[in-house]
Amino acid sequence: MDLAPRLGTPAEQPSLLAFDRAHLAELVDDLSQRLPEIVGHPVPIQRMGGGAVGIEVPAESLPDVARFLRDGLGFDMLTSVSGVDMLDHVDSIYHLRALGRNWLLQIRVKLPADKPEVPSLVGLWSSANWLEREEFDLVGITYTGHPDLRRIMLDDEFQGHPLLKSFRSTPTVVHDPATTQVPPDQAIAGEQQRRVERVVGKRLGQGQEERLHPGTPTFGNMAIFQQTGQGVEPDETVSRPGEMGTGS
Amino acid sequence: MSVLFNVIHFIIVLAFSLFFLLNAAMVLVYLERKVMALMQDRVGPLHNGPQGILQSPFDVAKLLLKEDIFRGVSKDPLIFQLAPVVFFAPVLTAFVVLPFSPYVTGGALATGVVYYVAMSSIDVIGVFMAGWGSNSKYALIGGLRSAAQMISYELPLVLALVGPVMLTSVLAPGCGGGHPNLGVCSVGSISFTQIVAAQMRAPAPWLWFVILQPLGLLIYYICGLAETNRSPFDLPEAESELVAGYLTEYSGMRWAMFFLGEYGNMTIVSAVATAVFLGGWSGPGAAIEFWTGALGSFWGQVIFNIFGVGWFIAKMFVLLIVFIWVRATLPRLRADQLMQYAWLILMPLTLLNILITGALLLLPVGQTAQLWISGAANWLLLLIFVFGLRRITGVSPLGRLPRWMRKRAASPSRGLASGAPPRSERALAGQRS
Amino acid sequence: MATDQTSEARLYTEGPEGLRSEEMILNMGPQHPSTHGVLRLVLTLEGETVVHCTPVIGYLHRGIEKILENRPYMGGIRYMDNSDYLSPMLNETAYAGAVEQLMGIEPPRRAQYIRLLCNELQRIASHLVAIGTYGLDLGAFTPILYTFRDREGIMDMFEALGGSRFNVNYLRVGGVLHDFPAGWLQQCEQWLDRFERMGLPELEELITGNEIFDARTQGVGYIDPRQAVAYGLTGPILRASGVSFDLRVDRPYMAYREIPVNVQTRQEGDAFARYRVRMNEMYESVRLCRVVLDKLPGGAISSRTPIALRPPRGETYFALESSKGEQGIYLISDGSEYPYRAKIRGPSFVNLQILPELLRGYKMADVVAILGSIDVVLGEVDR
Repeated sequence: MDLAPRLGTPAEQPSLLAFDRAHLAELVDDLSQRLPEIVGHPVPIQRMGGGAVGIEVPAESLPDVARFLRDGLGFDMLTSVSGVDMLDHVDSIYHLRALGRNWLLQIRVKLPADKPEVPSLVGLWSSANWLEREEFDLVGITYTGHPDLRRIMLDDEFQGHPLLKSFRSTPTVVHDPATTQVPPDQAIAGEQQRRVERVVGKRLGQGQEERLHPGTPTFGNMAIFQQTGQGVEPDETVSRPGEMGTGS
Repeated sequence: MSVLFNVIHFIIVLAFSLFFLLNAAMVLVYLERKVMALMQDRVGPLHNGPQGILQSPFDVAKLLLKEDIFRGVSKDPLIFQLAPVVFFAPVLTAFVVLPFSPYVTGGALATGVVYYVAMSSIDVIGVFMAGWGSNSKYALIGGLRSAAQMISYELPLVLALVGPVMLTSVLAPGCGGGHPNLGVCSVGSISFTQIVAAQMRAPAPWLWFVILQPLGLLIYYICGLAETNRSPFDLPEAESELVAGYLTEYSGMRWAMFFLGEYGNMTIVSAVATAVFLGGWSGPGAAIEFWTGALGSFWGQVIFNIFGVGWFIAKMFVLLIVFIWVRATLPRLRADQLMQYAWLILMPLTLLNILITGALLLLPVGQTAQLWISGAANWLLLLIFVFGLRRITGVSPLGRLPRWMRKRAASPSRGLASGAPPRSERALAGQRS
Repeated sequence: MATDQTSEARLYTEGPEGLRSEEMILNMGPQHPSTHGVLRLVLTLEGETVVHCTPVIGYLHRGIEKILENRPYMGGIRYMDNSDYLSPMLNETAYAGAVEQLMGIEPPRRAQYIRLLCNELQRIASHLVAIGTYGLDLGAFTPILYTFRDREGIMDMFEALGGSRFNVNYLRVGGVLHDFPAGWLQQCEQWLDRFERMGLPELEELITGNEIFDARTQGVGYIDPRQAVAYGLTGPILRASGVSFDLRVDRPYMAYREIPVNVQTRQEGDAFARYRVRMNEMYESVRLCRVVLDKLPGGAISSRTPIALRPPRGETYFALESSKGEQGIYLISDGSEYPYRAKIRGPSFVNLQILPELLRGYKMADVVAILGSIDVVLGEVDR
């Protein structure tokens, strides 16, 4: 337990701005000296609000720059990864912290809007794993070299990336009622019901012997392909039990 | 006339044993909710009847009316449906031997202790059947844990009862003590009635065995907690890990039977502890000579038995409230710690207790001196146990050094030296595999 | 929400006599008493030992970031309450702070102090829930009732302040909504007294030093400091691993520039250390609250800001020390009334990542012990 206050009394404490100015000059010097060598052309360095420093690097030199920042300048924590749809291009923005030197750095990587791809940083910072997966999910940036690039927040079957500006609304999805009350016309159960359950189990990836209660929500898998015919491949053997008589 | 009395006796005892168990469970549920509420700064049930006293009967009615879901749940319906019965029946049968008073005892079996132990170990079969029959992973893990736990704690539980049984042979009539030849004494007894009677003999007016065998009571009580799956040994139904353990898939009356069996088990454990360690029905007012002298043979016995049953139940409920108290206080152990505790601590301790008690009872001194010496040795063991436990449980679960031997970890690593985080590559590999 | 392919794979191991034993795959959650919400863990168990764990999240995804893009700056504050629903004040402060940083305005001094007071009370409330539910995870039923009783006082105070107990919606860009109602400060002081005299000692007696609690937490879930930093952990978890990083001190914001904070660290890095850091932080928060009550300056509670905020074009990253770690907001403005992009960097989301790494090799009972010690709030993980 650290009992002594780590800062002095308020009177002798330097203001944040002064503290930042002297403190950031060092970082800006280091960056302006070394980054052009790594990237191959001058890198714009800007000072941002809250005592952060922002740089912009091309996608292909991001791993080299990141390795230099981590090993050379001591940026040991990748705080956040943000993806921004800037209409004409997509930004992948990284915030790095150097705990030892108390620096905050923002890296901006501009990516083409039609094919946003950027090398993954999971090999350098473990925290990049989920952070990049989230941006892949919501913004649609592909992080090449990521070991496990899957959707993290949304369904596997989800169409589109919601944080893109072109994303207007979700496809209309009618969820199966998540209840144990089976409608009378579906209460025939038997083979049909078992088929539905088997398929649902498969789509949820829960292992073959996983017992699914009929009331388990299916996240709309069934409804999507029955109504729109898209999103998932319809299984020929399955139809909704209630619709058996309609001959569809 | 004698036959009629026997029949009346039988009916009274049967009704008492049957209804006592069911009602004790109900009272106990109410008591648990109220006492725990008191300890936890709550009020507990309040709305049904004065002070919520009708809550338990309403709960029972609700459980009776609930749907019994087993179709589609189980692949082995027979086992699934039979499990509550297998769990509950031994609890009911074990009630036979409990000596509420000399008169109100179902069957004063000469083999009372052995009978009780045998009955209480059948429970585990019911639990395991429930775990297996439910066809649920949580229930299966709960059932397996329970089987391991109940079998392990059965041993120290039985061994803890051996000490008092040994004392009965010293206190047996005709045993002067101090003679190396044991043949002079008559042997002790494993009948509950006899054990209680032994605690009411000389040299002290109420020489309850808790005075001579406190360690025995403590170990028996701990094992009783484990036997009945109560906190801190409630792993088989650990809510935070296993949802409800082997009870997960049960509903309605079947669930209620498990519930009843569990609370009945608690009652029995407390009753046995009362009989063996706390002097059973003995207490102020429970003196048969006085009452028969004052009121005549029949009414004297009636009054005596009312006093006896009253004392027995009072002692039992004190122990039951300790059950509740423990539940409100302690977190839960982990499965491996639980087994360690049984096999590495409780078992050696009970064996040591038996050894020491037996050795001291062979000392060539008078009977009274023997008793006091063995009692003192037991108290000493108890103190060593209680204070030694702190040190032993200081061992961390991963087998590192105890915390009082552990050195301080590395110095604060503020501002980590720049360098590759060593585990990130491994983490990456782990993600790929 | 995506499911893991390995959960479908059946893994077999050879026993000593050529017996094949099958590993069991257990779906823990999303509906489970101790996953603290709707977290789903796909555990591969070998007996009771965890071989592999895959967290599946997203069951509570409400798209808060998208909602924020469609709300005016002032209107977004209310949605930040729902992110980490156990510390809404801190979230609101983060969002308001980000907008202020973008606009280059500074709230009046009194507002800053009020914010600090609210933040510290909220931190206590959040830690109380963390410790109470942790006790519940370990099978101790009583602590949660004590902690919720104490937390109730804070909730009452927030109700008096903002009109709502849970989603307080109290902060505004440039200040706070109301000044203290009459008698509020006395109520706060009384609560602090009672908490220090009764609440904390009761918790200490009940949990700290309990042999079973020690045995369940000490040495469980050890996080190496380097590993912690590489995984981006922040907050009590990081400090429990011996890394003294606290944004209140390292990048002091608002009134923290004037009121120094003692950083609470432990060296052990296990679940017990995390519990201990949370307890110590509660003592520290009580102290800070008292300092604020002593020094509370007068003046306005809000700077004059237009009703329709139009921050200049630009971007900013503002982070504060939430109860669970670094709560960061990355905000981009295009000059309109709505944020162009608002990225929430939630501490729980980043902290939860390390779980599979931590669980490997521990018993199943330790799963809840470790998960509880990380103290995630699924509202923030899924957002």
